[in-house]
Amino acid sequence: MGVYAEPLERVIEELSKLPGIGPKSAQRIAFFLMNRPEEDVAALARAIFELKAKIRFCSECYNISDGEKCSICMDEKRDPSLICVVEEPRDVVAIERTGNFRGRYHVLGGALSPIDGIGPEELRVSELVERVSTGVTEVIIATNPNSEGDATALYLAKVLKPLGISISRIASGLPVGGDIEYADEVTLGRALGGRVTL
Amino acid sequence: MSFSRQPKTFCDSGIVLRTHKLGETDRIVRLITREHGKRSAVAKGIRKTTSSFSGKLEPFTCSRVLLYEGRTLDILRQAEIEVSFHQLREDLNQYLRASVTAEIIEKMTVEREPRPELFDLLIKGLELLRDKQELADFTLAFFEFRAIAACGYALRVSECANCSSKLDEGYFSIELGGLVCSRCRQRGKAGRLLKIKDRTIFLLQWMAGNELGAYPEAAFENEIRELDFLLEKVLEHWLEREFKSLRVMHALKDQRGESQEEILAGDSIY
Repeated sequence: MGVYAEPLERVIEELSKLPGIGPKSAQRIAFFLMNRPEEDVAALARAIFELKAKIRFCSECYNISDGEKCSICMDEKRDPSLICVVEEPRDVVAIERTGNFRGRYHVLGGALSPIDGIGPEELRVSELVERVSTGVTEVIIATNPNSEGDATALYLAKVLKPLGISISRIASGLPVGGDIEYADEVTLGRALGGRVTL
Repeated sequence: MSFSRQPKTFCDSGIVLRTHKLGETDRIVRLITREHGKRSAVAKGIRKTTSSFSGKLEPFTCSRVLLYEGRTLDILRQAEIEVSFHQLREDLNQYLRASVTAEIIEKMTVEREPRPELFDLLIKGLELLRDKQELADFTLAFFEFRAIAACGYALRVSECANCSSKLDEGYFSIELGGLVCSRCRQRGKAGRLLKIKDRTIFLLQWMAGNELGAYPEAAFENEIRELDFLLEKVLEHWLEREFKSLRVMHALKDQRGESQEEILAGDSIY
């Protein structure tokens, strides 16, 4: 039997399951919620419930959506012949923030990682190939610039090349605000390889 | 009098075997160090683009690391690349093979138990995979052979693995970890058997007498595939683990029409 009343114990237990929330933080949040007006707590509970009930994957790009298709795939101003391939829905948000991309996306749902047993079957590669064969002319591979992301890009290039489309990989190199002194030789090598003429 | 153990900071060479995401910006890096064994260490902020760690702790990179020893997880203080092995990440086939070598070493080692011979073996294996791409299949098979031996399961390939008598046929016992004579096979004392070619037996015996880095003069393409199949079965049997990277590597080979099932006919497994 817990120290607190059963409903409070239950909230603490459920909150403790969230990432980054330990038992002490869970207690603090539970007490905070207990002291909030009833309508605020009900709004939070409703929002969490609707998150699970309404959110799904877009049937075209597999981004997070609240309908059959996401807002990007529904937007007719976006170029359907240009696809940017990313690992996770959060990467879509990051690229959207740049405001420089006017095509559509394809979310793979991860990256190749042989040591974790993640092969092409575990990713949405066949869906991408199917999509590309229907009027897509260019694919930009924007997987993370780490070993898993690079391996995924190499694999996608191999699979997509026979389809006769233009395939490119986002550039990688030094970050804005970084110091050359602290850059590793691989990153610096890539930055030199991808230098631009002034 | 205090009985609390003083945490300590140490410096060592380490090869990154794998990494896991931790929280918003951190990663747990699993590496095999030369003097301090396999370690799991937290690299704080490594996923931020401005982190000085990023690029220095990618899989297969050999770095000089400064670690602060914790109870279960260490904390990475500094890292400097010794050998980046970035070429292995620029070719899909090389990346898959390097992943297999890293997974074998990861599964063969226990946390914090120094195994310098396995560290040296992995470095050698990665160097050969990087420098001799055309011989990568043989390198991987030879690496597996040497790794099995380094763990105390050296394959017996010059005499019967059951009775130590002279070999008179080509059957390999997975359970006994070596070739068996006709008498032991007929008595049913050898468990699961694989019928292998004479040239594969020659290759096994050649490997037993040579060190990783040597290459036979003749070409052994078909035998290497048979050898690969056999060594994978031995690894899985003795370590009682499934090797995920091998599964992914074979799945990708299957897509290219190089099915491993064709290597040995199904009826050659008794």
